[in-house]
Formats: sequence, structure tokens, C-alpha cells
Amino acid sequence: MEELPADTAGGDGPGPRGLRGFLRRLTSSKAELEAEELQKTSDEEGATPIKACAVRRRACVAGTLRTVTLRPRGGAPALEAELYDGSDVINLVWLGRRRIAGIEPGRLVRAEGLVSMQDGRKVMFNPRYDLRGSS
Amino acid sequence: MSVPFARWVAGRKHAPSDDGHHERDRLSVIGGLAALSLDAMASVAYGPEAIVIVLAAAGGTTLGYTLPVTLAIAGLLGVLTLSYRQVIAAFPEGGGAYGVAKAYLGRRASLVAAASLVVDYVLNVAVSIAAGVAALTSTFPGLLPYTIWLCLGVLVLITAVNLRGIARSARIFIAPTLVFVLSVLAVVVVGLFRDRPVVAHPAVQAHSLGTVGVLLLLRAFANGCAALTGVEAIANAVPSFRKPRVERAQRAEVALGALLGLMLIGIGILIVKFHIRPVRGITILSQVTAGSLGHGLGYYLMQFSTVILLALAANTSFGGMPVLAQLLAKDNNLPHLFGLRAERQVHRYGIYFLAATGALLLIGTGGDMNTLVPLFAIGVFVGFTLSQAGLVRHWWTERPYGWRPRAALNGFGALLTGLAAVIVTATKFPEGGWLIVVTMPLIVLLMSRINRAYDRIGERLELGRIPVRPRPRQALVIVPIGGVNRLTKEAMSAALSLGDRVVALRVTHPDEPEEAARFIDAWERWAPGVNLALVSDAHRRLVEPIVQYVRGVDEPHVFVLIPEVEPAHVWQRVLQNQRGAVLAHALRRDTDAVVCRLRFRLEDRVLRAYGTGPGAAA
Repeated sequence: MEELPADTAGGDGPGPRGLRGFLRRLTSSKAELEAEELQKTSDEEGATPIKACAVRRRACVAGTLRTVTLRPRGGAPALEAELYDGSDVINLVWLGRRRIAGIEPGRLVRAEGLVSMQDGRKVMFNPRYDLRGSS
Repeated sequence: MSVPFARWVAGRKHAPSDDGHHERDRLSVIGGLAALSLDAMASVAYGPEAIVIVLAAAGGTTLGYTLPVTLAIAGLLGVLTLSYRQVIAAFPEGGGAYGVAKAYLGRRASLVAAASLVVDYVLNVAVSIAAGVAALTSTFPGLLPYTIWLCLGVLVLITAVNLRGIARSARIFIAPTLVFVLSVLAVVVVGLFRDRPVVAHPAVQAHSLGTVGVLLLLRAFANGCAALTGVEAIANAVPSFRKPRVERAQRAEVALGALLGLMLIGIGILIVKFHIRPVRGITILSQVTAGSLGHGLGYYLMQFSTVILLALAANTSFGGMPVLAQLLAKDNNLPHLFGLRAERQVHRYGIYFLAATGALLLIGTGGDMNTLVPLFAIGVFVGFTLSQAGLVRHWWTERPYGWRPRAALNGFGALLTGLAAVIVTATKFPEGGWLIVVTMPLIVLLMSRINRAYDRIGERLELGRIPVRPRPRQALVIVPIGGVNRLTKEAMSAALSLGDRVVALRVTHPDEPEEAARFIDAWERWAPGVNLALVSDAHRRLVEPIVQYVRGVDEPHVFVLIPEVEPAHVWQRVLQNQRGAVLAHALRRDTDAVVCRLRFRLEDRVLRAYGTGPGAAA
């Protein structure tokens, strides 16, 4: 979070400012604060919050990769990653790939693709992706 | 207390005394009388004194009322004895006030009975020890300044003996009881033939000649009722008698009532005859004995048998408490721990409890018997009243042949003991009775709280219902790992046998990309055939990301298998970080996952057998 541009950290983000904002930041948990920061980044990227993504529509999302799961050799090759943008999570699945350089946990990623549902979770298969700086 | 010492004190574990098939080991009438009536017999040592103390406080002339008050108490004893004969017939399985109240008066009444029993067990320890030491200090007045230390010494001795375990043989008790009863009877008989005491203690002249009011007599009566404690013991233990149990127990009960009544009345007569007044440091029984037998061998025999009998009477509490605790635990009124009677440890808790509360009472009162006795009778009479009332209910509902006179007798008993309970409580309230009045409801409250908690647990566990057939569900096994090594291999094998869907979990730190890359490289070369999940944590934490990952998994069954190294030596524990324990604790607190901890032993033989080095660092 420390690498965020300076102007976004202080000024024009959503939420109250001044003493009330300060008090709110004091009383909210670390996880809430992190989620807030991530949502700000997502906004800057011009991405849709994952929570607002409609199923069977193309969408552009941005956030950090919380988990990256490598499948074993022998089975169908696929790389799975869980992207979190502060509002919700979405699974990114690259079929046919075992590893992708740069797709590692903690990385800021912007991904674009068709949103679908699998077992009650949002999934994006073979999304187009841009790697950003690590968080 | 160090463990070896405690083990030494506790002795070897005895086999549970299941002598159900050995009729010979059970109690005869005499044996039962000796083993179970200790408590009641011993109350001769402090009952008459309790009467005299109250009467003497009002002035010298009132002491003549000792006899009528004693007769009233003996009358009550007669009614109680007959009532308990019927309790024995109606409840051959024993159980006492708690059992009767539970069967016929409902749970709340049974809890009150249980509370009164607990209070009595504790008070019995304190009163008996204080009275025994008072008998000792009357014999050797030089010991008087050390009363409290003597009390605590006796308490420690009894506690140690009970921790070590005693043979529950009635024969041990027969001799002291017999000696005591015979001595008291001898004192009474010899005393009746004397015109004046052999040895008279110079009494303090009474200052005021108070008027004899009804209240004073009631107070004397209430205080003297302490002499009736222990009458119920035989009815509580009918199953330990030989066949025919009921008849033998009834005979023992009647014999107890007759003996106790004789002793009480006899001593009452002698007190009046010898003009005995309370003297500081010398018990009434000691004065009566000295007056009757002089300071000869008989006196010392009497005093010593009193001391021993009282110590044994204190011991009865230690025997009765675990049984009651077990009954209460079975009915969900105490933690179930107390129901496991085979566990020696549990007896030990009961013994420690009795010892600690007894010591508190002794220290609080300075080991003074006459401060403790007023506390005593309240609980006893609550118990008496409840069991009598329960029996009336029993006759009323069952209505066997000839139930009317029996119900009338028990009803009369209940009325008398209830009245006595009210009198005792009212007159003793300012002298410490309030302590009992406060304590008993607290115990009842505590037990009903425990009971409700168990009810809730039972509701959640669906006790008494047959659950649906168990079915396997999809399970995911998560194995947090740190590297690729022998420990990881063991963990993966174990995980794969738990379920077919296994995921290894590794926390990486963004500022150490090389390390993560090296790990992934090693993993790829090993290729264990399971998924590898990588999670990142910017704050270099280990436990929180894992917990978060487990929470995020949406599966019906999640196992978390934590591989750990079990050191070969205790000192090697410092080489391990205790993250396994921290993680297990956090997972238990924050998730519903089943936590498994895999122990990898570092013992030499294991390493030699597989020929691998200790490359397993957590």
C-alpha cells in the first residue's frame, strides 16, 4: 500500500475527511482499511468493482492477487489466482498454462474478460491481464 | 506439591471396591452401627455443651433447664429415629435426603437437600476437629494456646490419610466406637450413684440472674440440636448392610437412636446433678467425666476415645462427599468430572475442597467449637425436613397397606424438624447462622446453573435422539508447509490418506521473491501431485494469512494438517518455533476446520532406519 501515489492517499478519495474521517480510520479494522485502499486503486484503474460485475458480461477488474494455485503436472494444466479488489473476490483461471511469469501472490493486476459463475463464485477464464507494481 | 510426593501420598491405585458379591464384607448390625453412627455418637461431645453454653449465658439459675431441653431433644431424636426406620424401608437403595427429595419433591427441593448436605459435610469436618481438640486441651490445659495449630494439624493428618486412601473396613471403627460408648455409659452410671462430683471445677459466679424466657429455651434447644447430626447416615447407606439389608439397617438405626438418647439424657442428668457450668478451656463432657470418675485412668481413657472418635467422625465427611458428588454429577448438577469415580484425581479434588473449606472455618473461628456448633444444625434440619416431607409424599402416592399411620409419623416428623429448622435458623441467625442462610442458596443457584448449561449442551448434541446415517462429504485437506523436505513428504502422505483433494499452502513475502522462486522450483522438481496455493503477506505474518485462506475456502469439510517436529530431547524444544501450536490455536478459534497435528519424531532409531538426515526444519 505504501507505493500508492501520494495524491490519492490523502485527498480526494471517498469517505469523510477531517476529524470524523480520522476517527473512523482509527476505529475501523486493518482489513477494512486495506479494502478501502484497494477500492481506491481499482477506481483509478477505471475498473469495475468486482461486487458490481454482472455475470456473462465482459468486465475489467483490478486488485491484488491474494492466492495463486499451481496445479500438479499430469493433470489438465491450469493456473488459478484469486483477485481481491476490496469489494469482492474473483477467480482468474488461465487454462493450458502451468505458470505465468509475474502471476504471483501479492501482485497488483488488472484483468479483463468474461465474468461467469462457478460454485457460487465469480470466475474469469483466460482473462487479458496487465501486471502492475506489487502492493 | 511435587508430583512424586503427591504420588507417594496418594499411594498405589486401589482396585475399585466392588464387593457386591461378597456378602461377608458387608456390614452387620454392630459393624454398621460403628461405621455409620460415628458422626452421631460423636455429637455427644458437643451437643450437651451447646445447651449449657446458651443457658449459662442467662445466669446460673437457668442451668436447671438443661434437663428439660435435653429431654425435648431426645424426644425429637425418638421421632427422627422412627421416621428414618421408615426411610430405610421405603428407600432400600439408600440415597438419603437428596434421593428422597429428588424422587418425590422435584429437582429444586433435591438441590436444596444437596446444598444442605454439602454444607453439613464441610461443617462436620470443622466441628468434629474443633471438638476433638477441645477434648484434648481439656485433658492437657497446657496445650490450650496451640488450639488452632492442633486443629490444623489434625486436619492435615486426616487429609493425608484420605489422600493415601483408607481401607473401608468397618472393623477399624468398631473398637473406638465401642470404647467411647461404653465409657460414656460408664460415666453416666457411675455418676448417677455419686452424691456430688469427685472433682469440681471452680465455676465463675454468674453476674446477672436473667429471666428464663421462652426465647432462651428455644435458643438452648436450637443449639443443642447439633447433637442430632448424623442420625441420617445409616439411612443413606442401606446397600452396604448384609442381607436382609432393610431389617439390619432398621435395627442399627433404632440401636443408634436408643444409645444416643441414653447418652444425651444421662449426661443431661449429670450436668444438673453436678451443677456443671461452662469453664473456659474445659469441655462439659470433660467436667462430667471428671466429676464422675475423677482424674484417674478412666478419665484419660474417656478423653482419648473422645479425641479419636471425633477425628474419625471428621473422616466420615471425606468418605461421604465423593459419593454425593458422584450422585450430583450423574444428575448434571456438578461437572461430570466428579462422576468419574475410578479417577483417583477426582477424589482428590473433593478431599482438597473439604480440607480447604474446613481449614477456612477453623481459622476463621480460631478453632473454637462453640462458635462453630451454632452453624451446624441448620443444614441438618433442612435435610431432615425434606426427606420426611418426601416420604409423606411417597406414602400419599403409593398408599400401601397401613400407610396412614406411617404417613402420619413422617408428617409429624417433618413438622417437628421443619419447626426446629425455623427455630434454629431464627435463633442462630445473628451468631453466624446468616452465613449458612447465604451459602445454601448460592450453592443451589450454582448447581441449577450447571444443570442448565448441561441441558443446553444436551439440546445441541441431540441427546436421546438417533442421528441420521453418517455420509462422507467432500473434504479438502490443507497442509501449510514451509519448504520441500522430509517433513513435507510425511505431511503430504498423511494428507493424501485423509482425503483425495489436498492443497499445500505456502505463505510468501513480496520482499523476498528469490526465496519464493527457489521454493517453487524445488516444488516443481519434487512434483508431489497436489495443488500448491501461494498466498502473500506484506506484513511477514504467517498465521493470519493461513487462517484467512482457510476461512475463504467454501467446502463442507476442511482439514488442516499441521506438520510439526517432535524433538528427541526436551531441551531441543527451544530449537523449534512454536508456530504449530499458535496456528492450531488460531484455527480453532477462528474457523470450523478440523485441525490435525502431525508429529514427526526426531528419535535416532527412526532416522537410522530410513537413513535420512534431520533436514526437517519447520
